[in-house]
Amino acid sequence: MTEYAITTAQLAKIYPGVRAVDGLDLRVPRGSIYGFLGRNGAGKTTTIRMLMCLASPTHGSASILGLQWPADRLAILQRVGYLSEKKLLFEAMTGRDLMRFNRPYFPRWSDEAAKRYAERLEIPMDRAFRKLSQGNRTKLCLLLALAQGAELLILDEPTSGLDPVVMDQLLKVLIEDYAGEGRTIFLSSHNLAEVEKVADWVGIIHQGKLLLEAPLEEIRADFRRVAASGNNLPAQPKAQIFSVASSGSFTEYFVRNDAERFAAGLRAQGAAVLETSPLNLEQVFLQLVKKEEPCISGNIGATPAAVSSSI
Amino acid sequence: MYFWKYWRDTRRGVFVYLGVLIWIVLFWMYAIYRANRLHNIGGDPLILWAMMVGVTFSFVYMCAIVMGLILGTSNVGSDFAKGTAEFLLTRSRSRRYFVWTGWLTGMAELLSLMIVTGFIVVGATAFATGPVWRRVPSPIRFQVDQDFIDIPKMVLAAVLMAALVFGLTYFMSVLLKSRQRGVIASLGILTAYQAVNVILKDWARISLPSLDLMERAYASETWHLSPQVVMLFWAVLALAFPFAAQVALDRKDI
Repeated sequence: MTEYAITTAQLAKIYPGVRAVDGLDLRVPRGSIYGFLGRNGAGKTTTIRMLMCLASPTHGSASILGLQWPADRLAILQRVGYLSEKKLLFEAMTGRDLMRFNRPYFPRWSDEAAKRYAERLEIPMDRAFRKLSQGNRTKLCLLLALAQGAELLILDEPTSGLDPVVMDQLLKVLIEDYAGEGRTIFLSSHNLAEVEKVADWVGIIHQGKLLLEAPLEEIRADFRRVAASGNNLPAQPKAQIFSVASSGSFTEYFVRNDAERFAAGLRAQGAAVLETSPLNLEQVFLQLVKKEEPCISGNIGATPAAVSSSI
Repeated sequence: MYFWKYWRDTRRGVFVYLGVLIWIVLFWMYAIYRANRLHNIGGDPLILWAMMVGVTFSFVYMCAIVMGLILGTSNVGSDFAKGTAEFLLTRSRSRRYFVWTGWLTGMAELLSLMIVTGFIVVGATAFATGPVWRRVPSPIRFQVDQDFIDIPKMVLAAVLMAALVFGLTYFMSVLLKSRQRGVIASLGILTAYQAVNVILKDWARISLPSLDLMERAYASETWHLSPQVVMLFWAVLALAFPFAAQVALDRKDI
């Protein structure tokens, strides 16, 4: 058993004139809740479609639960649950009909689990899909993915269009019931607050390239905003400085790794360091997508030794 | 389970068809009853039998074309338009499974409908006129004036036409990812083919294999080929459509 639920190597999808996904190297650890973040059109859904064997990559490769795409397509589909961005099922079928339809495709399907989730999520299983509210539609889609006994859940914008109560219900089920049993969740979203609440790993994609991939704890610990005042301070992103904003003699740095040492370097240059503060995921995301430099998977910045050389 | 979904998706069309058929047959029985009273056509069993066969196969042929068009649109192509293709094609089966299961189920429904139509029309006519076939020397193959009627060939022609229209519509719906576009394209291709055939016949004296299978099934004028070769040509083409749909779907990004 590999330690990663998903790995991709230089995965790319190129349409005429558009590089939707451009050399993606993902590493999604088993048992993690991985938030896959990006702006609209960043390449999240295209990546997910490739992982779910719905679109073929222009080049590169992907391995899911140790299985190779496309050779092991059916085995992958048996072991991976998927919630698409559209959240559309056969509209004339009821929840029970959909269970009946779904059951034979998945050897690990559990009627008992389906019944449990239906009760817990309060889904009206005898109502046609087209008559369900957006929230119940999403819940039913999720129920089908959960009851198939998947080892990995791939969720594309699972909570978009949901009210806070339904969102909370869904996240509770995902975290407590599903991830609690050591299974992996890969969820794409641009709802950063939601991801910050549930994820333990984060990948940020922008214009088809992976800008950052790291555990959330590491991001919280290593990313800092450093506000400084002084003359001739570095004004360009470099090494662990991933974003800079200057206004007169006041400069705001967003740095990765060893912010204290970076601040010491600034002081050594005669600058006054006004503040060093931690960043939340939203701030990191906003600063990163302004810059567009890819980083290496699992490596969230330059080595501390590079600090002094960068300033 | 895809059989079951296909049946659910198409059963309304099947029931509507059967309902319309029953109304038409009732009207037909009434017409026979009136004609018998006015003109005593039942006096010549051969003519009456020829008329029954003609009417039956006209129905069956019409059924083949109409239901071929309707059933041909129920496939993965319609799921693209409804936005459910992502759900369907992430079930753990190959794409070819969905293409062939849909095609086989549709063909089975189509053939069943044609058989039911045949039985209903013959049964109703027999009820209205008395069992005339007992009075005809050879009710399967016989000649009336200039027309030679061969029921097995007519059955074959109707089945082929059904498979052809169904297969073409099926393929076009998958290719164009929409049932509406599939039907329009299919009708367009059939009409264009007939038009090209007429133009070539008039201007260049070249006859393509005719689509009017019922009339031409046993006429050897087409391309100067034997009727068997013409039939074989259409049969191969009809079977090529699900293969083409499979190739199209296998290569498609969803």
